[in-house]
Amino acid sequence: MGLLRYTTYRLVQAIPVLIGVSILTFALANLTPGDPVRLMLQGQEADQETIERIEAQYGLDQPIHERYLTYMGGLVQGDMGHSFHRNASVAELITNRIGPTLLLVLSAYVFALATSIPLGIIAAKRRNDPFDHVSRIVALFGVSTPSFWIGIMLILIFAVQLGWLPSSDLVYPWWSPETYGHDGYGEHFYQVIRHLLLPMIALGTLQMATLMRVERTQMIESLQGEYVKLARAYGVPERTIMRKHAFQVAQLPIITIVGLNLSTALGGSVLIEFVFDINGLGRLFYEAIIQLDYQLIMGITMIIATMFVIGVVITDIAYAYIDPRVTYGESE
Amino acid sequence: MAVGESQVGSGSEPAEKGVEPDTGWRNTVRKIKQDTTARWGLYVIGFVLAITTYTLVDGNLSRLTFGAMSDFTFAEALPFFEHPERLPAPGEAETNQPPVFHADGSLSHPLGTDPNGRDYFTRIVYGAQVSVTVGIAATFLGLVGGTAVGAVAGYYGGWVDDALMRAVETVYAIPPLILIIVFTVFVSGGSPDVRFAIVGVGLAFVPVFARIIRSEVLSVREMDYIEAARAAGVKDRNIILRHIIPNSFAPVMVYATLQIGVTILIVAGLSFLGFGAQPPTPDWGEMLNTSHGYMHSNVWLSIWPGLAIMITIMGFNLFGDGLQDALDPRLED
Amino acid sequence: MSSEPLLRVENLKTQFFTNAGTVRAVDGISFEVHEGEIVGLVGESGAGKSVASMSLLRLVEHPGEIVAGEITYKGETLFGLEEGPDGELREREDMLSNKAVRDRIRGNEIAVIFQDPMESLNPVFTVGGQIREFIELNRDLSGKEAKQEAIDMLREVGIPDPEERYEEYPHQFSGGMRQRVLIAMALACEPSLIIADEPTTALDVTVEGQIIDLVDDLQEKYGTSFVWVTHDMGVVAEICDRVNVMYLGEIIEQAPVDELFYDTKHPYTQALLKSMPRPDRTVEELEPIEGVMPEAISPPSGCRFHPRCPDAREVCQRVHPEPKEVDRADGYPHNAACVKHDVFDVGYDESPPLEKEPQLTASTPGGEDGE
Repeated sequence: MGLLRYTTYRLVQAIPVLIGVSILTFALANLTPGDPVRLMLQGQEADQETIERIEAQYGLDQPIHERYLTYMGGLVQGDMGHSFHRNASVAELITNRIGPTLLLVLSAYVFALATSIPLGIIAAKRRNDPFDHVSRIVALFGVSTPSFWIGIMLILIFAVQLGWLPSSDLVYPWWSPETYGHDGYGEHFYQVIRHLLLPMIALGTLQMATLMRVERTQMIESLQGEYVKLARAYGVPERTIMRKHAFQVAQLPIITIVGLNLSTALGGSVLIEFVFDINGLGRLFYEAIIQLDYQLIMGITMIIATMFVIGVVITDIAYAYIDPRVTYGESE
Repeated sequence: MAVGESQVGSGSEPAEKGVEPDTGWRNTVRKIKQDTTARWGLYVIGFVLAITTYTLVDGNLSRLTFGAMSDFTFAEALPFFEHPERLPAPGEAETNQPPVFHADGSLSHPLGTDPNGRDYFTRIVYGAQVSVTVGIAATFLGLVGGTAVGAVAGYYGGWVDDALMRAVETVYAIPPLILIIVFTVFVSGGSPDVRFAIVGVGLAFVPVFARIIRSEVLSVREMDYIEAARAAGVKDRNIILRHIIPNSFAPVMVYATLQIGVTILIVAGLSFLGFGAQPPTPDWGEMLNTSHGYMHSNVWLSIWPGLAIMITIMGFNLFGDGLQDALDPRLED
Repeated sequence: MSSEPLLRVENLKTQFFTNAGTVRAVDGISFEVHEGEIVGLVGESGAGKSVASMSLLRLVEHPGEIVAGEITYKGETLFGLEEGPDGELREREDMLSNKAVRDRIRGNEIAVIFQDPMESLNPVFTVGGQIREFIELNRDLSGKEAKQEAIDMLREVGIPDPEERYEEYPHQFSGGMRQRVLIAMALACEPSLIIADEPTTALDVTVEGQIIDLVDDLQEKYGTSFVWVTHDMGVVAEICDRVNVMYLGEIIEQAPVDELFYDTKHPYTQALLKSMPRPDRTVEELEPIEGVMPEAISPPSGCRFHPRCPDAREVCQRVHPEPKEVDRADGYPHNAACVKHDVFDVGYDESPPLEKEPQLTASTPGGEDGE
């Protein structure tokens, strides 16, 4: 009951932010020096007539605030505009490309969480012994190394030198095995994993490193908590303390950071999709930027910001669900 | 240390710590000196800064003396160094040479040559220039912008605060790399370069600094001496500049140091995609972009710039971590 | 006093091995707790009271360690060392294993109540769930019975609407209410001994009074023994049967409560009593103890209290007094560790009084400079 209201409240709160994002991207796209039509044509010669025709087609002959309102009107109805270079609807282009990006980002998160939490906990438990030192060094490398370079190195080692794993593209699990000529779902699944492995690690390493550091710090702090001392004094086994008493409290900041880090992961997917030749949203963004396809750029920026904002809302709700101290909403 | 009670920690009364009273910066500096992590970070930062300074001075001196950098650099007089940008005439230099320890390598090109035949070692060294100057300049810009926004929002509160924080949230909602690319490409009218990147990165980092400063200001604002200054009729602007900002600075400095690392990381990505430094300027990210096409023929090209980025960022991260430990007593052993 | 005591501590030493040196937090204390008794452990902060009480449960945290002494509880050895064939000290064979202490002693036999009720409860679990978990762990009750027991206990400690409060989280309770929860938690495990480590220090004075009354009543009803750790002589007077006064890791005076208050034998205890605010004294009449307690890492020579002692003489710098019986009352000995008593016979009366050095009120501890 309270949770549902809180969810609604948080979603409603996100709307002004998204409106702000649309204003910001729209302003950036329209503040560009020189007129947008020439930018779109990218130096191609065009006569005055063509230019005027394009201007009329995109409503560029209208004042800027009206153009924004027209754009927003379209957005509300799910019309994100038209890609000049691809002659296709932006919404459609995005729909076709969002899957691989989601797959990549989510798998990177699974990888990061599955490694960072156990490692962080062990490091906290064995504070200042060799395991702790090694894991801290690994984390330091993780936060200091560009994800795209990790990707390049992984390709060099596992694809170029060893030839174990493919270096480009993904196999989409939502396509049927026949599309790829795979022999049944077993092989299909195997191929999905094989293709996903390297980009997932490349994108997930930074997340893993950040989360591992936070997990370690939080567990150390939580293990020093009075409630842990109390549990020990009542004969609770150390394993239960690790897995329940100290763990649950330590996870709260992790949840917040998982949400906020989505920003880095979504940005990073542009780089990783570039390195691994993945036809996702990031790659589409890159191509749109190269072509200065400005409606497409605005559309992708909006979608990525929306994904981030929704991610943060989800983690906020998860936080509120786990931490009883959070009061739902402003009223009450 | 009064270990007695505090360790077993049902705590009893606050145990007197055997620590000298906090003397602000001096105490922090002392702690940094003791902290191995921070010290190593400083060494790395110092090394990279020295290289950057040298390349800057050399580039500008030669520019002043000979009119353009592409004519001559003093570095060329040094062993192992060549001109970082000038392309050798076709057929004149060997392209894609492997590093010196490789069977086909030669000592005249310790890290080999790039696909254009230029000395890779020189380009790696000169590559520090863009990463470090952009990293520091952009962080500084974000810091100044964020401080202004955060201080005004926190001090005035009310609708000013609401409006500014909404704006900050908006900027924050777009992942930095995306925002920076959109900004640089649009504002430069489709021909991005480093100057736009600095402004773009600075803009993208205003929110993080604004939030930190604002929360600091909110806590400082309630202090008695601020009340007193206000009651004495000191102007708002002076209260913010003379009292509030100096008092909020310590945590911001830690953050700024760590942020320089993040900035260098992002700028490298930007150049890697081709939206940052443009050829022939030597830049690590840009070099990785070029080498991407040679992953199968010359693996070494992809290795050196990445290592250089990693070591530089690690320097800032080590120092930032050490600084944090020095300022935050919570995690002390 | 004829019966075997519930708990006997002999010559207990707990030390912390820090970079700055060895901290002798507890340095050879001996005391007993009999069935149904509330025994006080009193002293300033840093005296080693909490370390001592945690040593009883073998819950001293790294880098601390119990290095000597013997702890016997109901005839079982909680801690004991003996000299092995190689001359090294080793754990005695009859000493309970870590697992045995965890499974059979902690909670079941000896429960604790900590000082800070705000921090002692886990913020993400319900209050009832936490009590129930400890009951299930320490008593042979099914989940359902444990829940009923937890609710009954909450009612017993005076929490209204226990059924509803059972489902609530710690942040929904006030400080006093949380301390009641901790008391319920301790009693619900049906231990024979409860260690109360400054349980009322963090509370308002009015709430403190209520909690002390509550404990007094429940103690009578359940017959549980208590080790009551505090720095407050007022609380001691209200609740304790017998008192141990600690100074820098040592027990310097040990007596039944009335005896301690009316026939004080140690100058430190005297000083503590004089510094205690009382309605019949004005602020001017209060005499704070001079100086601060030195660090346990570098205790003064001789009697550890001599630098702050008004009665200190030259001999006090040299002779380190072990507590000796100087009187008897109610069948219990009245022990004190002060050479001014005749039983010590080290020439106190002939010894010249000490020239008082000016006391630094916040001296830099010696260990810090040497780093």
